[in-house]
Amino acid sequence: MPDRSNVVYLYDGTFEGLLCCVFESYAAKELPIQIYCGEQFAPTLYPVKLIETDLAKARRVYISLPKNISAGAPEIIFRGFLTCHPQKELLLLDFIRLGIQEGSRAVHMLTHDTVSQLYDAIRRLIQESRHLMGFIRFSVYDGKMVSVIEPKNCVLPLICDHFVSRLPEETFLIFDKPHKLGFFYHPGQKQGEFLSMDDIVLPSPEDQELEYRRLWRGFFQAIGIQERLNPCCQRNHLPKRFRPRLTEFYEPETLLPAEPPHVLLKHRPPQE
Amino acid sequence: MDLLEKLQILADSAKYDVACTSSGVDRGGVSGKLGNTISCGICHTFSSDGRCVSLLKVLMTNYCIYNCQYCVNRRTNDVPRTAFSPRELADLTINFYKRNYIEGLFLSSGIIKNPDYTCEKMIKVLQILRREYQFNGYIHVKAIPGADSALIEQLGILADRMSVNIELPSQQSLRTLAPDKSKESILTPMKQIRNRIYENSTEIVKYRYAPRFAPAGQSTQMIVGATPDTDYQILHLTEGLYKNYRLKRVFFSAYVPVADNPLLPSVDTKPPLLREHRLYQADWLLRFYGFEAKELLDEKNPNFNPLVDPKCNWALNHLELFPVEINTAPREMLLRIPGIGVASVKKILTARRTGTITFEGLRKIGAVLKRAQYFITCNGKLAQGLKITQDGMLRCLLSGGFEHSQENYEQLSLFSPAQVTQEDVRKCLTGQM
Repeated sequence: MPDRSNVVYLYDGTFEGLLCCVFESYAAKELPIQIYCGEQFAPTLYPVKLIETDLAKARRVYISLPKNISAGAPEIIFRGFLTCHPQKELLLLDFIRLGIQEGSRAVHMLTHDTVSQLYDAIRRLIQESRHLMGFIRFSVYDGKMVSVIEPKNCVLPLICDHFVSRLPEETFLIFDKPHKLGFFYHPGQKQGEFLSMDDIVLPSPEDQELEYRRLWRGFFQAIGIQERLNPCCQRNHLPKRFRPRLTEFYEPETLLPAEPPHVLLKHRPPQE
Repeated sequence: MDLLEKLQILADSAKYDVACTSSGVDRGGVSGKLGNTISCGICHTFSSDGRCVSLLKVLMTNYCIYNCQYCVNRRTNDVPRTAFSPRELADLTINFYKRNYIEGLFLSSGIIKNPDYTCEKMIKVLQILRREYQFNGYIHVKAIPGADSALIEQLGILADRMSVNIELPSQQSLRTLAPDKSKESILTPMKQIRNRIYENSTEIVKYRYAPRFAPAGQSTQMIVGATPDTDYQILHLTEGLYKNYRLKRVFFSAYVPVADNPLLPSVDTKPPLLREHRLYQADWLLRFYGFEAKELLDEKNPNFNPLVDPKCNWALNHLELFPVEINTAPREMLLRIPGIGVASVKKILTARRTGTITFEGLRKIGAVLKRAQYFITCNGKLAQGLKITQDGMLRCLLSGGFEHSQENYEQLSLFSPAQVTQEDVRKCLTGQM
């Protein structure tokens, strides 16, 4: 394997683009010192090589993965691409090179540096996707359902099938805000579709929606056992970063519909 | 009564039921229906006590004709009472489910009029959900002891998981605290459910579209700490339930004092959470680690050691089996190393196919060595720099919270009032100071 060359690859941030980086690395017999996608790129003193995304090249690399590594390798590599590991591109390139060198043994080499780092990143990705399967909250607007999520990893491709299976007769949209990716499904479609979207503006919720939010909040408060209060355990299972999007942790004022004034007056101190 | 108030009362009465899992059955979505289930279960939120909330856990009603001393809903307790109408509860479930608040419904009930009547009410809810609303999500239902077997059968066809609470770990405790219930009335529906699940497993081989009876199996729960029963009795009973009744889970619930009664611990006692935790640890050892109850406890040591976990305790009593060589030991032995769990064992088995594992490698795999390092060798070597001192070992093996219990640390202060010692007094008197 060649030593690290003094070259930086710049690609467009797509999975196909990354596969083209792998292609280039083999074609030019060099190991880049860093791979950046367009957004992250900061000026550097190393020579920069711009990698054009060529679907034919990407396809050649992709097809070679199961042949040269193992049948499960494409999935591992795709999942690795979805993680939020800061140097996932370099990690994946190293993993593919290791796989091509070692064959199917590579996927079992858990004590190897590259493999253990990659698997650890994938483990976090899967853990986050499991979390979000439960922690997504839909709001119903005129019969259509919308949810906004803010995950660290790009989990949407892993969880969308679950929601299509769960809600086959509903129209819904899940919007991943940090990754600017949406997933839209409406009944009649066999599978949903991914949309690239910048932001979403939601109308104010309807009365029925507010009523169910209020009921859920009430249920959530009633279900905890006061004598066993354990905020530490709660925080371990449900990290605080998820809470702003969870109905049961909203501030009450954003949740309650306008209540008749006499209800509010009841709680005020008596006036003299 | 407004629906919110009703929901809060009936959730509050149901909160002492432990089981809130949505696991045990994989069922994909079907077009035209609502919902699916996943066999590992999904937690939708965690309540303030740190427990997973996966199902809408409510009682159908908290009116009850029984007077079980340990229960909040006993006849003589003065609490607000209410009941859901079947339609109300079904609507609530569907709307929560669509918004992804819950994975399904957990339905239990106080006994109104008689067990059969109560059971019919519950069947009504499930029928609305399954037939009218085409609900395909998870349903956990409590079988009512004493209800007719035909009704239990109907419940089982509609639900995914059924459970009958065994409530207290011995017949004697049951007689004193729950005079309306008997061992027989609890075990009869349990047996019926077990037999039906078994019959059903042969039916679905013969007939492809045979309705599934409680596909996620049955579970039970018992209260820990309300009666003088020992951990040994409880664990023995648990093992028996897994073996003889093919239960999927046995849950333990630390008794939270709800009543001032001479038969029960006083209202000020804290729930025995550590004891409950140890029982769950042992329960895991029974189900996933190949342990037997008699290995963990016996008549001479009928209770768990509060300082170390059950597996570590077992290992310390069987030091002749250690250290274990990571690179050659069989799976069964790897599972018995303190601090090494099922996931780590799986990874060790995978990794050692491609090369020998060192301590460094073990760390990279993700195994936690804090406790394990004292019980293993890698390639014939002990962990490098491992000092086996009594103090250090204790600190590593004791479970969380007890590490510092021996020493008393304190924040030193420049201005704390000086302690006048005998010596100071003497110095003062002799003029040295």
